[in-house]
Amino acid sequence: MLQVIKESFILFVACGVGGYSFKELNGFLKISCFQVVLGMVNYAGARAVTIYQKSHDLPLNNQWVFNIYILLECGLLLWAGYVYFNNKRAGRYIIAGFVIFLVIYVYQLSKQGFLLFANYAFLTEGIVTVSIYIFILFGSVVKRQPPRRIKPEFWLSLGLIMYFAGNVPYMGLVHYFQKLSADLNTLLFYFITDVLGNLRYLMAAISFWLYAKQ
Amino acid sequence: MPNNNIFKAHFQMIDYDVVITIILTTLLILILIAGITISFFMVSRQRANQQIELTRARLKYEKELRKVEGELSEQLMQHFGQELHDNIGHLLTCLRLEVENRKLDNPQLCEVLKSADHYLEETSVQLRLLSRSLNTDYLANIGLNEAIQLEVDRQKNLKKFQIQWEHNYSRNEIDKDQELIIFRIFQEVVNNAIRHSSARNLCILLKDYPYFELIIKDDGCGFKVQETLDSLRSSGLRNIIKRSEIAKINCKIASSPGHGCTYILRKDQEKT
Repeated sequence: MLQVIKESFILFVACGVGGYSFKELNGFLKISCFQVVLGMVNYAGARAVTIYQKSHDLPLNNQWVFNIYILLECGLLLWAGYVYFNNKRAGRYIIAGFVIFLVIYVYQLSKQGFLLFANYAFLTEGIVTVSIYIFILFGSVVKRQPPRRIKPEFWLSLGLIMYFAGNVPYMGLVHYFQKLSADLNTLLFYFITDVLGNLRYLMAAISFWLYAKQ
Repeated sequence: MPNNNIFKAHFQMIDYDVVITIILTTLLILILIAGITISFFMVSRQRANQQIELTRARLKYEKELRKVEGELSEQLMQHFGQELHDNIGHLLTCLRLEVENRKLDNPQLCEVLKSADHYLEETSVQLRLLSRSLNTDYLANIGLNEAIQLEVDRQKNLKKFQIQWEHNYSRNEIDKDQELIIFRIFQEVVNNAIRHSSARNLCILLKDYPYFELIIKDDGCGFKVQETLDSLRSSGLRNIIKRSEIAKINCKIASSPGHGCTYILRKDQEKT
């Protein structure tokens, strides 16, 4: 239980802050808040699956939970981006990005099966998300109006960019590491994905809090 | 979380380079993101600086423009005043002489021409006062106190409203240019009172101790200051504010519908 709290504390905090300030948030941050809640549900789901598999002496594998999650996560993040830009041109690019992600996602799952994590689909999600959120980051820094305070969107987009870009080297080789050593893979997961994930949700919490405070 | 022994055992089995490369690449990417973010901030700062420079240049330009506008209008008024005095005034004098001659030639016309003579004299006086109030050099020489006195006399002659005029001013703090601008503001205020307020009484107070202050108060219909300033039909009011900024004088306008209007022109100590 302590382990669960330790791993998901920041996620809890982000959910709490998002829920507390939900009414005050704009459309973009509301959808981002849904995404954080989805992250929480995914974490709980993956944990529940592992506990079930352990208790029934089944081989441990919760990667298919993440396969469902990345599909919803990508959809929500791109939808949030669409709401943020709120113009047809950006909307076309975002839809094109989502279609590319779907093609890779379906292709990889059809090749390797649903039970193995679709890492290339995740990388595609990362590329699409980073290329959209870098514009949001740019806008939140450069297009500031007086009194030139940093916009709340800045923290959310920076967290997402760091998470997805920082995960590229590890996620590209995740199956290689799994084959090489499952324990080492877990360790790298904690070192990279978990740390970046916590950073991402911490920044999301900061965004929600700052927006509600305005 | 796997324990360290497992990690060490596996770490010995696999290629160090791959793990280190992964971690270093991740760090490198994070550093790159930090660099990009910092460069965004630098671009933002540069943009802000450019905007500040642009605003400064625009303000300077507007200030120059206003100065030129002011000088032009002063020149125009000067010219107009001189023309009134030299040309129209001269013609009126000729007309009066003509009337006098006719009266001398035909004494029976004295009664008939009496009222015409009276109006001619009144017109001459009004014209002289008006031409003086437009003449920049004259105003600069006589000073603000006398200039306002001149305008008060002119308005009294017009019998538009009752004027209460108090002054305790010795021309210490305000230079000639400022005096001229303040006088033009005063004229604009009085003009506004005549044209828009239907005021019956006008109260004017001029003093320079402990600080320069000119208060003009009317008992007219009043108006909502901010609403009027926001509307398109407030060029006179905006002119007053602009002129007071040029003269580095604090201008306060207090008014509300049905409660008249008060203009306070004050030179704050820190503005000197």
